[in-house]
Amino acid sequence: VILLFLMSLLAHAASLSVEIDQRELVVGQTVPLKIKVIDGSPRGVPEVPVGSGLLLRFQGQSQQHVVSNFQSRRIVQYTYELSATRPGSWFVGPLDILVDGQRLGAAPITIRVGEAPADQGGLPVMGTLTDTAPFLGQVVVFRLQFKRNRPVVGVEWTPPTFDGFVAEKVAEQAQREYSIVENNQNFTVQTIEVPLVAAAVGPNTVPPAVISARYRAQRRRRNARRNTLDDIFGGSSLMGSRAERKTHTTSPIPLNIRPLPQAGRPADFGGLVGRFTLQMKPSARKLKLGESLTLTIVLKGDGTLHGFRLPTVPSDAGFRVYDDAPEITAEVKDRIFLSQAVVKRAVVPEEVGTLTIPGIEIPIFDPETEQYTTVRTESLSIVVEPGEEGAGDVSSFLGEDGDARRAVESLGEDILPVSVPDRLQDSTLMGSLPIIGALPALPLLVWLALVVNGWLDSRKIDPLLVQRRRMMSLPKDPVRRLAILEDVFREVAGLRLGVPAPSLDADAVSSLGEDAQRIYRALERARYGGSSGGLDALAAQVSRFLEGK
Amino acid sequence: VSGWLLWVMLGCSSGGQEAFEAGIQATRGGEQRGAVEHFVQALEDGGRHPATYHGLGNALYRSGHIGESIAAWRRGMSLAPRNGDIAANLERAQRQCLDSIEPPQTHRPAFFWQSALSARESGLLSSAALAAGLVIAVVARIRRTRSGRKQPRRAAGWTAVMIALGALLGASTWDVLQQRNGAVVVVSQVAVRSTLGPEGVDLFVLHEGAQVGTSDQAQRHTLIALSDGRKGWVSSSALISTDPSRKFPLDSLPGR
Repeated sequence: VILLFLMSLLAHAASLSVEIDQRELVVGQTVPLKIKVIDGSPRGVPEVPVGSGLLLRFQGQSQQHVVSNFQSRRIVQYTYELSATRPGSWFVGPLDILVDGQRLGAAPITIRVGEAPADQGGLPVMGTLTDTAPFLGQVVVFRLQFKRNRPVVGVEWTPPTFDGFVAEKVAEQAQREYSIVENNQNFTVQTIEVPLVAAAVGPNTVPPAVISARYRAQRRRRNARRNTLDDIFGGSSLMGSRAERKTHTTSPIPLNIRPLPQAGRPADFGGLVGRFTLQMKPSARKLKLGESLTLTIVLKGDGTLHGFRLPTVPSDAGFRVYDDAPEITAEVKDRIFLSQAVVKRAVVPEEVGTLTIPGIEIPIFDPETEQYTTVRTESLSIVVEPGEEGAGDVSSFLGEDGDARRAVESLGEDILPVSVPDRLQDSTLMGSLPIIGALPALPLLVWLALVVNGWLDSRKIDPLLVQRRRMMSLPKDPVRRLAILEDVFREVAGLRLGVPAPSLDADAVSSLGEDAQRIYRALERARYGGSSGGLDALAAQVSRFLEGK
Repeated sequence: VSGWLLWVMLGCSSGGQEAFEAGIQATRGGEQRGAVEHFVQALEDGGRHPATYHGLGNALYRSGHIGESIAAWRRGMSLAPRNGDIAANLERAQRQCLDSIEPPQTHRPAFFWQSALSARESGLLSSAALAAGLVIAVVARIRRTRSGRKQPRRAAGWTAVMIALGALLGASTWDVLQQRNGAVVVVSQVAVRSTLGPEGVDLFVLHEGAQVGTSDQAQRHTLIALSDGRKGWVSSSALISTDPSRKFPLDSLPGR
């Protein structure tokens, strides 16, 4: 107690805070609003002013002590119920209340209230299209609405095929979930909104979208402990609770995409379809020659701006412009598609004096009036004062050591001149035909010569083979037999020595070895002795000599 | 070998140097008409070089003859496909033409290398490949005769590869020669008729500088084909061939 007393002495001055869970509501939605007075005691229930589209009802008051970092704080909390009754932007606050003789205030909070969910006529799901007769290029929003008064443990949806449309490139589909009260019954509404761009002229149909929901099964409370656990785990399958799956489908939506009218179509129409506003704001109204100013150009509307580019500026405008890439953003909320393109344009004046930057004009097609119109900005007057010497020229911020060169400017174009060759020659195939033919001709001739030579060699008769044939057909007559043996021996010896056979003598034969000498002598003896029995042995010796054995 | 070298040198001799240099001098002196005459003379003297066609095209272009200049540069490009200067001039002249049609093909897509090689270059490469294959075969044969052993497989393989390469290049060279059927319209405009004679009707009109392919020739008319498949007959005098080996006609030039 003493400690709390001491802590209370250290308490800070009173403060006030306002807390709202959601700042974007729909008609019929109710959210809690809390006002906390810290370390103070207000007199009575604080009165909170709210806009005419909102309704605030006091629910109750509570008080608590919080000890944090050895400091005790007393918080008095007032709880209200904030209900949205009309679409629009409404304020909650500002607050100005008297606490312990001191006035405490809180800034107003903006609450944006959208249209109430469409009447589903008792159906659990409904698909709608913001315009069923859009013009080509117009953005429409497909909205799938799922309303239920039973808790679900999971929802899956299968989008339909949007024939005749393409997805808007910048914005993404938006999903939202909120609670509303109808006929004293709480409903949860889930919406999915898809922005689409009409792309194909003609009648078409958006087929049904499918929602598959798993509802928590309704059952009687037989087991109090089990049901408490179910509440804790949200009826999840973890605790073995049962879910009931149901599939709902929307009705098909017939539509007809209309072409853009040809009548009154501006020549420079770039395809923007929707309602747009255009603003242009300069970063300065006065500058020196050589300096640049930045124009911030903002184009806002409800049409797609994908691929948007600003119109170009003529070269003789008296100034040069350099555009950054447009920053395009888009979102879809409560069936409204909003897009914005911000372009930063650098303007570099070329002359001293009053520079008039003409307004920017962008032709658009307005689907509501079904007419072409032009959004434009006012022209701007900029005072351009003389700059420093050399201002307006290209200058280098590099030091003297830096590379001060610049690209060579082209002044015109013409054909390229002839490079004169050292020696003119016929470059056609016919002109080079001699060398083309001669290059392979020389090796071809050599190759052919080698082939012919080889062929001729292959036709020559082997002299040893002739002698072998003679040895195989020796006659029986001893005289003729001896003559042939002697002739064969002389031919073979002559071939081996490389000399003609008739010029052989004993000295020449001796160089062929002892066997040859022996045969030579045996032949001499046989010629003069005339022995027929010795001729067979001699024939065998000549045969061995013939075979080189 | 001496006779062979003499034959090669005599066969590859060229002319037209003097006329070419006179054409260059005339161009530098601003005498475009004289330059045209000199360059054509250089061609007739045997100086069928890319530079001659380049100079002729330049002189014709400066004389205001866009169609003839395109024909001359096309011929130069077929002799030197990698010549960027001629290609740039051709591109510039083509931009001034009225008809947006693709020029006819100069080679089949299968012989893709012909987009960078002239017929002469691919012919020389073909010849060199065949010669290399034969030299390998000769060396292998001599070794075989000396050693008495059979020709090694590696030599036989290289011989086959080189001869196949030479044959392929030879085929692509032949194909390029067969595809040289391009022509350029050199009159301000000409009607293309469906057939010769009074029964024919006007199919379409071509303007100066249009590049077409030719597929048939009558006495005084040529059957042309556009890259989009349309065909018809035109007077032969309205066309100049893009074949560099043909005579360059100057009859269409005014004052001749």
